[in-house]
Amino acid sequence: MTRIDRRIAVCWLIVLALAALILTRANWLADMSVFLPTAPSPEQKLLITNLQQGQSARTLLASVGPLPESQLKPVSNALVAAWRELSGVRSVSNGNANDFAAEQAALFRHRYLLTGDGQHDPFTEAALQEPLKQARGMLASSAGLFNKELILSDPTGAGLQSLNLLSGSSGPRRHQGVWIDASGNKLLFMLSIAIDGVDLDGQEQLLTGLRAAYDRTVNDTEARLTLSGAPVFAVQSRDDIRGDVIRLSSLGMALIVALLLLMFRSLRVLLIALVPLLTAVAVGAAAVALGFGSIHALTLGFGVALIGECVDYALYHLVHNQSGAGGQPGFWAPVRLGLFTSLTGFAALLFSDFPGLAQLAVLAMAGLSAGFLTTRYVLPVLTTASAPVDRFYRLEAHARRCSASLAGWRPWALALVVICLIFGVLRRDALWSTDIAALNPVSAQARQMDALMRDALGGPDLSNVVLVRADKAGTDISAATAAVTDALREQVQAGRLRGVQSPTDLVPPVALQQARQQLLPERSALQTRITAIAGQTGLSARALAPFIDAVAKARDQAPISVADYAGTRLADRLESMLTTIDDRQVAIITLEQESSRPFDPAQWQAQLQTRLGASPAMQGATLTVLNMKDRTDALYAGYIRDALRLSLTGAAAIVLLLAVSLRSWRALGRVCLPIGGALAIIVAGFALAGTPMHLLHLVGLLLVAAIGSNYALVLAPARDGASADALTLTPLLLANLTTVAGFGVLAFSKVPLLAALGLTVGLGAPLVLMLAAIANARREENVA
Amino acid sequence: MKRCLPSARAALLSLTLAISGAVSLPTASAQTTDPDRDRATLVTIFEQLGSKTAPSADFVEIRTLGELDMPIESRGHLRFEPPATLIKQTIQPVEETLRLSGDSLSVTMGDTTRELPLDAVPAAAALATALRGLLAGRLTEVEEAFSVHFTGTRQDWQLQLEPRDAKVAASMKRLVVYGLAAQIVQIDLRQTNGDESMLRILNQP
Repeated sequence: MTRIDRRIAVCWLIVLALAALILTRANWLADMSVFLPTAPSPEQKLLITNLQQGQSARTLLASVGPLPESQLKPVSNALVAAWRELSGVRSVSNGNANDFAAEQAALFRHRYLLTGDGQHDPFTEAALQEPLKQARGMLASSAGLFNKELILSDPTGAGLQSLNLLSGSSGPRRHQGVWIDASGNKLLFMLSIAIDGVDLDGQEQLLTGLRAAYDRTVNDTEARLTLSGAPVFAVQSRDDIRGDVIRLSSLGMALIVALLLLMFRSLRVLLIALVPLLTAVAVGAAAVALGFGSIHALTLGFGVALIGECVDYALYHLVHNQSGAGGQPGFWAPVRLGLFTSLTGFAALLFSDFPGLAQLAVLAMAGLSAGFLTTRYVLPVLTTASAPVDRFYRLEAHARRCSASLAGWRPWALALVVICLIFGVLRRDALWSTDIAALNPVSAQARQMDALMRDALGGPDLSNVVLVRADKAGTDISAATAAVTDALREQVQAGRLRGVQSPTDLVPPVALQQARQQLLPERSALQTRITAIAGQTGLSARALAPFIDAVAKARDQAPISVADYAGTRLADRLESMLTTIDDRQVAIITLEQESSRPFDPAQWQAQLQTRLGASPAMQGATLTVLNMKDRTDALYAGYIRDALRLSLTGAAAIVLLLAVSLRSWRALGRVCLPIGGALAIIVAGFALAGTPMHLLHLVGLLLVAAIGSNYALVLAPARDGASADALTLTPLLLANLTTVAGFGVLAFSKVPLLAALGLTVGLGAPLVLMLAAIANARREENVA
Repeated sequence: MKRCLPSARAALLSLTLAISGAVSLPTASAQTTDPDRDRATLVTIFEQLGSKTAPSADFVEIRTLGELDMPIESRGHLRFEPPATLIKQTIQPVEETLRLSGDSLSVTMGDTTRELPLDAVPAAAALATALRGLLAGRLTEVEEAFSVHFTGTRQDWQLQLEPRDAKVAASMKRLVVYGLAAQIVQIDLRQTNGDESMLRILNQP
């Protein structure tokens, strides 16, 4: 080893050590967040926050069964008791009427500030007479037997009216007071948890706790616990992603190692071949960790993309070390150009709003550069070993004969590509999926299960909402929200909507609360009025003392605020309905639509705006009617468009780079046509199979272009004339096989994201090689 | 004053009831000395209660509440559909239908029906158990929820039911059931807050 060699080796070791250090401290992620775009508009921000932290992200559904009828109630109550013990569980409902005691108490306590229009006085002698008579009737009735206190403290029914704010839906069927499903032998539960969708570790821990508590509590061997809901899906898909990335990457790696061993029949050579690859993965991953503060398991899953190219580098080194061609300056030129085209392609993704794509770009760029540099400068220092090439030459000769026979296929290949292009263009509108569910790693079966349980339990439904947004920071929008709510309630009355939930139901505008307070009589005045009509109502001021006390208290109370619901589920509900975006208040009113009527957000918006446009309450506020699913899909479609645009920019940059380097239209065509042709065939294939492509297919196509450019460049005749003795086809075939092995296994992943990527690249890489071989076959024929 | 009429009638009725109770009580206590025989009588009475065809009757209920100066009287029909459905239809002073079926209690007043799971009000659940147990002649069911004290004879008897569950006992002090042979004639409910309800069952088939 020379001094320079030693320096190179030391540098390499330092780089590896640094990368290892960074990786051991890196934060590993496997949730879906990297495929949610960053830096969105206020509306988009709301959608994303909702996906991650909204009420639905903190709601769990559970079903337990089948159980014999006699066990239903005891098991249900035992589970509720066990689950409530766990930290992180805010509430557990099993249908028990006392489940909502805290919420009912809060609403009942504030009944006189929550009800009334603030204009008509409900406490005059005349107005009180009829309600009080009815109240006395209630006392006589069966309902009054155990409700005396309630009737005497709420004779006007304001409390019952405020309790109605609680009931969203009547909930599922009950058996002995506990929720059961339609089959009648499964228990249902709804849990609200305190852990955000962002904290997946916390959620996973909680789920484990819930399952353990179930195992301790339920001894029935037949019965099973099924948990569903956003937290379950998030944790499950993270496990799937993590599991698949580890399992399939290891499998792919093992296949590649086996392949290389088979070819070289030497452990030493194999280790040499792996040096650039491992260096590339370590440096690439470390670069991502440095640049993003964390690294996603999926990103590393894409790391197998590096395998193909890096193994290529090592193969060139080994093969040409032997032939002596490695020393020729011209030999590495196409390989280097291949590297540059890959770098150019990935550079476009750096600007993606999806952190996942940007991470991938960093990983690929840093990894490929490291792999190439390691091959060029470190490998020669480490070893002078070479592959046993005799066998390779025989293989090469055979491959050339095969490839020569491909020349005749050229018109067919061209025809196929043209047909695929036309087909793709015809189907251009259906090529890309605009449904964000396409990225959903949750199985269709699990989603269906969830829908069933949600349907039975009436879980939070945020599909149609009205947003009321302040036009600038500091503007109070509660009056506007209340006005919109009133307008929507009119629609409920008219039968055009089934229900409305608004934050101002629970926290009315302060002005309205004060107007209600103004109408509350003083204690002595109310006493006098009640006594004056006691002869007719049969209820004396003594009997109605709890009512008189409650009114007197409400008169002096401070206006209700969000804080008054602290510790109840109503606080959760308010939290998900009131938010700020860019320091501006936003209220979310949820609509329960009549199922028989299609819901047209634009029409509703126009109607509400006409109805409220002139209202002074709407000053400084803007209302928007949204269908969340439509908007989420639109948001996603926008990002697909952006990603496509970036990819096309990258592709254009690659072509430009090649054009400048090759300085020949003919050569450029030989390189670009096979790549473009392969992409066209894949796209048409997906269209033909009826599979709309999504983000990860696009990533796959980009990888095909990056990997394929290497093949095409190496296969394209070098400008100084290909040396007949050079090994070209064999290393390419080997590299191609490793790529197919690496990605092919991903195609079997149960995570749709990984499967899409694996399928695209697994098919695309051999296609490019094939087309490149066909495109360059004639020259080979001459040589042969 | 016309409005006082129902209340006056109620007072009169309660007076009659008190007298009838007073008349029957001495004879009852005189004959109950042997606990084994009492037990046998109790079992026989429940057998008789259970063997009756679906009972339907009128009722008059007088409720005395601490907060009110005068008792409230209501009247209507009772119907029992074995094994577990009890319908109490009040006609006066307000129309109301209470339907106790399985484990749910629904109260219909005017156009609105409110569904209450019995669990929500333990005392109501206990009362339902007692009523259904009595009407269907299921002694064990009643004894699970109440300690039962029997006095009287097969022809003229009285049961004191005291709730076993502490939650129930917090609001319900005791039920006293008066019967003549296979007929329940009156059920008194005493609550811990001093309120009382007397349900007199009339016109039984």
